[in-house]
Amino acid sequence: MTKEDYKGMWVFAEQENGVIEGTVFELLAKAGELKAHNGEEVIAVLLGSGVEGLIPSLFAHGAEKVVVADHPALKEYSARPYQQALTQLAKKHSPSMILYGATPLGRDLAPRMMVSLETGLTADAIDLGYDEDGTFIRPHRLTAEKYSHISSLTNADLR
Amino acid sequence: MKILVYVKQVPDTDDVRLDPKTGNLLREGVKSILNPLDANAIEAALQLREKHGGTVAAVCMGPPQAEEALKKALGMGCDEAYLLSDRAFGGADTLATSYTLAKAAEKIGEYDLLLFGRHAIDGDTAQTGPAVAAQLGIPQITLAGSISVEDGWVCCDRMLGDMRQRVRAKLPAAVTVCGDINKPRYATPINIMKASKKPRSTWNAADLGCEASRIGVPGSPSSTKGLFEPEKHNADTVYFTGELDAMIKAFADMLQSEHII
Repeated sequence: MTKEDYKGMWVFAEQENGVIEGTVFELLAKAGELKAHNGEEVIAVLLGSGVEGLIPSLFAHGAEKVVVADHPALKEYSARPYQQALTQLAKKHSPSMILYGATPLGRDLAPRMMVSLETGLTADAIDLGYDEDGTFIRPHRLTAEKYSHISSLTNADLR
Repeated sequence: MKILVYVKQVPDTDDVRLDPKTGNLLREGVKSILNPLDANAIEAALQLREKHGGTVAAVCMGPPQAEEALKKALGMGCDEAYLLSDRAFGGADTLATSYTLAKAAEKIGEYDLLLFGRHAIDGDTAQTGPAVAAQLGIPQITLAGSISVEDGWVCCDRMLGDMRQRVRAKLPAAVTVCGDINKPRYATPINIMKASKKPRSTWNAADLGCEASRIGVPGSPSSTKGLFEPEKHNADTVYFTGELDAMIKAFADMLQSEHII
């Protein structure tokens, strides 16, 4: 597969006890902005047990499609079951990127996803965009706000 | 119990400045220190060893001078040290780093617990611990504010901002620790003297059996494009003076012209 075969911007729709984490809506909005550049679909990915009631709010906040994994094993967050479920979905649907909120849960899960999908991962992005060559870039903030830097992915998010 | 503590040598960020012309980090004269949270991880490991017996090994990836971080770990009381050093490791992102660190764990073998500082003060990604756990296919506990081991399980309180969450994971497991988990001990002169006699190994990519395509720059899907200082926003202050009515009118006019009302 080449870079062009990976399509769709995934937003990991973090939820706990049936409440969607606030940053999910921010990420959906940001993915909507990126769509102007890449024309890709904004897709929310919802993992949990008995979470179908949360789907309408994801559509209301800009998701064009919602992928749901509803299973009793996903009721409470645990790194390995979530990693396994999300990896299976990502390998099946090949998104071009996955966005996570930099929450305790997002920080717990995203590095494991980086390993299962062999992708790049940038922590603490404060913006997302494309540079003049069309490479996806993510400026992020570093400790003590002394300096920031732009990380650029050479191989897109999935390879 | 066999505990591996992963440590990193980092620039002292109180000392870090950017070259205003090139935007590069000014590294000259910036001293290197043991990543502060890694000292908490070492302390946690030493306390567990005191309670349950076993050994604590410190593992560090870096250039030859990263030996200093390992000396500090030995001086605090770790039993042995492994330096993973090879020019081919240079430029590694967190994916390539986690692969290399996991290869070291596999070579050391028979580990029960991997300990990490929650994040390093230079990169600040907090990805390495969970990524190594994923490479090894073992469970993890991030943000640990306490740690204990019972009957083959590691139990921790996770520090989640306004709440603590008590969790456990079956050994072998990886744990990343927060700064409030303990107060790291000092390296005592006697321990520093003993440190020079403790076993130390230096391993390169071939020693670890690393695939060349998975380490350093070739193994890193992400790279740094550049560095910049955050923009400073200076807000303009507008003063209204004169009679109260005139000030109110001027204020209202301004709000209207800015389309706020």
